[in-house]
Amino acid sequence: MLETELVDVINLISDIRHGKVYTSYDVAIHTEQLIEKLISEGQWNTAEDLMVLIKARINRIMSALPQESTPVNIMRHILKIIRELYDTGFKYKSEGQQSLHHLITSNVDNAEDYSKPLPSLRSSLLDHLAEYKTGLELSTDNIATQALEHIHADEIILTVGKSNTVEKFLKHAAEKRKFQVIVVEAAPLYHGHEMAINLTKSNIQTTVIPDSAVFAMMSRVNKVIIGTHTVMANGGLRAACGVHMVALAAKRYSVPIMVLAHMYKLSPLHLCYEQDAFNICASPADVLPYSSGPIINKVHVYNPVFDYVPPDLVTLFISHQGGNAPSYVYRLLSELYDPNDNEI
Amino acid sequence: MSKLNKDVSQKDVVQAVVVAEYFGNEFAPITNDTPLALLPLLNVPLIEYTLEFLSLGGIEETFLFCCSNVDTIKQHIKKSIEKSAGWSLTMQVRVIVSESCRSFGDCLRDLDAKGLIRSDFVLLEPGIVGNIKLLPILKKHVDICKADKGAAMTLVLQEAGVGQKGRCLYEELLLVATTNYRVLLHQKLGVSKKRKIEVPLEMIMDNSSVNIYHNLKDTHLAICSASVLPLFSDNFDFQTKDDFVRGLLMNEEILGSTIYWHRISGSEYAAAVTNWRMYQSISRDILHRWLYPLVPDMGISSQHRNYVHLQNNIYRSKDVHLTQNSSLIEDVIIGSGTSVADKTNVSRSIIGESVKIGKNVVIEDSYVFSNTVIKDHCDIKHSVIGHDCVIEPQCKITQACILGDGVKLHKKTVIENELIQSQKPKDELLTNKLNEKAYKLKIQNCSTEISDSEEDGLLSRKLLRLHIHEEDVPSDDESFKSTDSEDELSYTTSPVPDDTNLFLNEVIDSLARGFEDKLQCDNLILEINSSRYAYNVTVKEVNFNVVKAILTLPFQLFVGQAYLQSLRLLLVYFSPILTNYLRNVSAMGDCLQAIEEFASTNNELNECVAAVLNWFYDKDYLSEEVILDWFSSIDSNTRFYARVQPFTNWLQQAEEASSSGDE
Amino acid sequence: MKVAAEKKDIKVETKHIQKSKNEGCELSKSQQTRVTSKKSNSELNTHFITNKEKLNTNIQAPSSILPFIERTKLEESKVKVVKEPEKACIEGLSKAEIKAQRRAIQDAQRNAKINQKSIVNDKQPEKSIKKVENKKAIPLKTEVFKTLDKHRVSLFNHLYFEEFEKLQSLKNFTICNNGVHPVFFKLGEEYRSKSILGSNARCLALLSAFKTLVIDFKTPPNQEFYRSLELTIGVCVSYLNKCRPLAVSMTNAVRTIKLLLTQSDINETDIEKKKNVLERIDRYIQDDIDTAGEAISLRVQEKVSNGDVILTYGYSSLIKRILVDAHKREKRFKVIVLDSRPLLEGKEMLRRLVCNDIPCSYLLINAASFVMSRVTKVLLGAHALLANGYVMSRTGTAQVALVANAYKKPVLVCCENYKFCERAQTDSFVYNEIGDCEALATINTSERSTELVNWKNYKKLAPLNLMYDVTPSDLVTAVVTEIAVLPCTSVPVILRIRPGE
Repeated sequence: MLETELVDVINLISDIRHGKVYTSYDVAIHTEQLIEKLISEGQWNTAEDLMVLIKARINRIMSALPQESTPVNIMRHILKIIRELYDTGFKYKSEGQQSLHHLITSNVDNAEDYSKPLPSLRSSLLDHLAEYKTGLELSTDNIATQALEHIHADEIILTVGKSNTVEKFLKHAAEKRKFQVIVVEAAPLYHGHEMAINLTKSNIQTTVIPDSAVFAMMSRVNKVIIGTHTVMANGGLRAACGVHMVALAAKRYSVPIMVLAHMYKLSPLHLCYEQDAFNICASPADVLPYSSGPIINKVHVYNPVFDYVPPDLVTLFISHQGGNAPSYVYRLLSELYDPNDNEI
Repeated sequence: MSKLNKDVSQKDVVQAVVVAEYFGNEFAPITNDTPLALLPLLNVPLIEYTLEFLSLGGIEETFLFCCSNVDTIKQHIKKSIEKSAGWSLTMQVRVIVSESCRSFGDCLRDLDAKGLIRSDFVLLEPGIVGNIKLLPILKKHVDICKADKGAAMTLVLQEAGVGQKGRCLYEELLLVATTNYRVLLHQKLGVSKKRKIEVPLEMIMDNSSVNIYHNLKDTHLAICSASVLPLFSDNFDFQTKDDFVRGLLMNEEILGSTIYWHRISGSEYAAAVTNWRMYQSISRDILHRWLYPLVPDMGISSQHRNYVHLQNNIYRSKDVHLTQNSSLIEDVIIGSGTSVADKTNVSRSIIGESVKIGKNVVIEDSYVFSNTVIKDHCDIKHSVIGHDCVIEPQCKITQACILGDGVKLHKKTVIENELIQSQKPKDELLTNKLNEKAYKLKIQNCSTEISDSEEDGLLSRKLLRLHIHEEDVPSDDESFKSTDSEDELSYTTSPVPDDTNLFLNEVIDSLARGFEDKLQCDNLILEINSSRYAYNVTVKEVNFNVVKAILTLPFQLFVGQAYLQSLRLLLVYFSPILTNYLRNVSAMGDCLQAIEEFASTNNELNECVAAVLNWFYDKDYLSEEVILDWFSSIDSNTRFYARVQPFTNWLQQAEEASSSGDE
Repeated sequence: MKVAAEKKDIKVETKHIQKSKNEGCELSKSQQTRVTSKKSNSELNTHFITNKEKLNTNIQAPSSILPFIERTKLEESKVKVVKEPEKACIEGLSKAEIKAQRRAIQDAQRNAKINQKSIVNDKQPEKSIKKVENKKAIPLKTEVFKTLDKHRVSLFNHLYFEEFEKLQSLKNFTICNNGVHPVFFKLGEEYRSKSILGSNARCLALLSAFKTLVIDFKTPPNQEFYRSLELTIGVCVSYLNKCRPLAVSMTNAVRTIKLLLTQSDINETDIEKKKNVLERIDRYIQDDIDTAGEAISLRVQEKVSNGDVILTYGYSSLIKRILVDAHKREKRFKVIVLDSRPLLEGKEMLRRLVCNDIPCSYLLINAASFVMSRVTKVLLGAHALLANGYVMSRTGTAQVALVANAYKKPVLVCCENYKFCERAQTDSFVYNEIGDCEALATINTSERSTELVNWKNYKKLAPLNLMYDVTPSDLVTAVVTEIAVLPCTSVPVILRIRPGE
């Protein structure tokens, strides 16, 4: 694959690195647009060609931005859509209905051939993508509408840092019910401050606490509601640094932890428990300023960005489809992605 | 016209000028073959950091100014673009060649002649790395320009504490500025031997408030108005940016230009590789991730990631061969294809790509470039080893050695503090030949101005090419290190000096100035007396402190010279003052006390105390009785006592002799 | 501002106190101003401003790592106390400020002496004054309550209330100034501004203040020395308690001293008695604090081996001592210092350890899970050890212990015996202290600005800065005291064998 043909994905990577595309929702939308453009304007004739093109892009993003799973997940899902459409197009399977039995059997004969040209593929793909896009756009709202199912009156809810999804979720609940929110400030980025201000603007009684006070407060908390960066195949989380600690405290007091996750945050990858391998450390400046004097010469300062939260600490995932236990993630994954695409 | 220009500039692309040529031979012999721009910094050419920084900072067009090794640089840029390096996507890079330039100033004059720059631009001196968001600073500069038509440049500076390795000792900076960031005084203190800084009174009088900074380091980065280039063209004596700043500040009225400054904060970082020390500290800072996101594990400009970041800031490439018994201790980066054999320890070092390291090797604080072979039982500390070198077994390379590319060292070679290159230098003696692939180079004094004074020797030792552990370098600022190690770093927590101490300092200052400027002693006496009233100290303390001040002075004025000699010089010069204060017996007692106290804390005086006393006695400042009286009161167990004893013995004998003579 | 001052009496009053807190004003100073009319208040403000203007040629020294909190704050206060602006040249400052302080202290001493006499001679008037004050305070209370209520967390209303009381009675205290030795005004201010922080430091400061008190103490006529001293100590301590709730270490120390006062022989001259008391205080410092620390240090050193990675949290003078001692004994280990906002005490720990050449890493508490896997031991300090075996310590300690437990790492809590407490407590709510909320809204690690700065504009927003938390005993592997290395649950045993209980 020549570099010039990957210009679109290289630009996306560069935009993400420059911070032009920042939130995971933006990343998702941009990825979707990229694929849409590729399908409508790209040089491909058969489903196989298209899949090769997409896989090349996945590889590129995985090597350039290993901590960014959203674009890869979306492209993987689109691979699955292609497969399905191709299959239905040739009536391999009966109307593409997803029965459990069906899923299991279809995986066995994976030596499938996607090289036959299917003229209707392009248009039907674009239809599906449009549908997928509206799904993306409505995902946050869909999650938010479930808020009333999970928050009752006079609750104390704890959240960490800032997540647009969580913010909408809580605001939606606040329209009907009165409850309190405790926001953990999440040093050294202090996104929690912004979150607290946003919540209090919607007339929610908000308390900001430093990261150290989580354990002290947890015994009075009714629910922990957080967002996440990625949901991993085993139902564990790659979340902002500090969430593991919150989850441990919640577990100790048997406080349920709810994770609001869009479908595109589900990743089919298992990651080893060793944090070094999947974490990244940001600049230590936020922990200890560079101007601290000669002490800087002698000290190692770390500022990790992520935390791994094992699945047994998570009570519930809430996606736009509803709530699921972590043990159910594997099933969601098999609906989202084709097992053949897990390793690319 | 300027207004029109500015309107256009809003739509213009944001431009940067990188002068890639380093006009000096600081980095010889490594830079004999490779230009500074391609010097590997953590196994990535330096220029990649600069360009990626500019691109992430929001620059859209960069002019890369080269004078030598043009083809290598051009080729490198071309290759990077082919590999679609990060910066190539958002930024256009144009290489400008001008082989006739001999200085930084020449480059800018040449650029002016070419007329490529249309508006405000970012000016970079060679070897800059950073992660600053440039657009906000540019915007700030534009705002300043709107308010002040003469604004020519905004210097970008970063805060850094004294003693931090990231501060270049050559470039210790003192900055005086108004509260709205207009620079009034910009002085680099590092190389100057001056121990005082004069701030013109008008600076403080003319401005309602003035900030004086000594907590800044130069990032060598500046935002320039379009007027900077013509200013360079008009003033042919501007060779460097510092010349420019100095010239502009000096002739502010004539040139009608002002300079501003900007402090970067938070997670922003920038620095320039100007010498090996900075190379060392920048490497360390990058390993410690201050340059995030430009860190090895995230790829610098390439979109492929080679390194994994492990604990203790170890960066390991994916295909490194490490044996079970080898250990990477901390702050290490190891490039791909490198192999490390048994029982080898690597710490605080950079190892390039495809390096072969044998058994039982110790590598500490060193930089090993790609394709080098280091065989068993070698010791490499605080050194730089170029590309394609071969180090045979049991070599010892320590104390800031720099080995150029392709050097071969025979078995059991031991070198310390040497520059070695593989080609035979043209005008060197044969004695400097180690073998046909290793020639010693004459070590040039680090400071450009060669001077033979003791002080410079000390300075250059302090400014050895690479930073060696503090304990290895005898530092002359021991007095700053308090014995209570807890307080070593807490320089802001020193106790509030009491009046007497303040008085002493005042006296020392007055005398030092008096001696340097050859002032009349009478005037100095007046000055001392007036400070005496200001600090409300007793006559006794005055006597004591004046003597003490004189005894202290040699350490300030004649650093590194024989104490006694310089003291004698001072004593002679200040004798009118001594005459003024040491008038009676009690004053003599104070004087002796001062000598005693100073000698007890100070070795130099302790050694020659007898001679000093003798001088005082000869000149009749001290009488025999007072000395003997005082001598009988001091503790006979001290070394001080032993030193004074011969003198007093002599006195006693003389007295006996004279008294017997009388009879 | 003046108009506002007239309208809302109390608000200005509290504001003023907060201001003086920020500026670290010498307490005795601010009292005086508060006693005088509001006019002089505003005058004082302008005074400050003129000073500042004169001082504007400020020299920025390179900022070091968190200069020891106490000193900088004191120095700050000194700069601002300067009365004569014309003397405000940089060198002149220290002199003028010392004089001003001296004057203030002298004044206060004089007042104190007068008051002492008045208490001793007649206790009735004092009581009556108090009653009057209470009456005064009641109507004000409700009013202020309304204005402050909006920034409170309802769970902690009982803790806020104390703070409010404190502010009110502080004012009354300054009016009647009943027998508090000036040393305690200074100390109280240092406690309140958190210049003196940490239970050992606070206790030591208290004991040395007691010593000053004893030295300066004159037995009022017709009174017994010990009795009247005990009374005076009581008054002083209750004053301190209003500045900042006493630490357990302090309560215990006060109790011990009062006990010895009641048990002492009264048939001695006052001078002998003084000597006796001073000796006993010195012995308390020596035995219960210093020697205890040494014993603990020795015990823990046995447990530290070469190659260990020891994690610690915040600043504890005892932990620092242990680590430095162990390092001096040629033990080669690494230390990971965890820290948390808003106090960032860990920086002080880091600075001291680095000065002793101990290799250190520094992280914020949220990265605890990031480092915990490579840690071999966790050493934590304590504010107090509760009777049910729970450990009360700086907020965050429980969390570190929790994470350590999740990674199955041993957690050792080091605590001198004199910090043991009979209270039993299972959560961090009932008995705690609320720190300065403003501190949460300022970010001190980087020059980043946060939207929280304007938190007072949002009526439903309440930053909460808890000072302590309680670590359940099952998260602690062992407690190291000078007597033995024990499981947490053995605390009541120690409490029982403690002498004099």
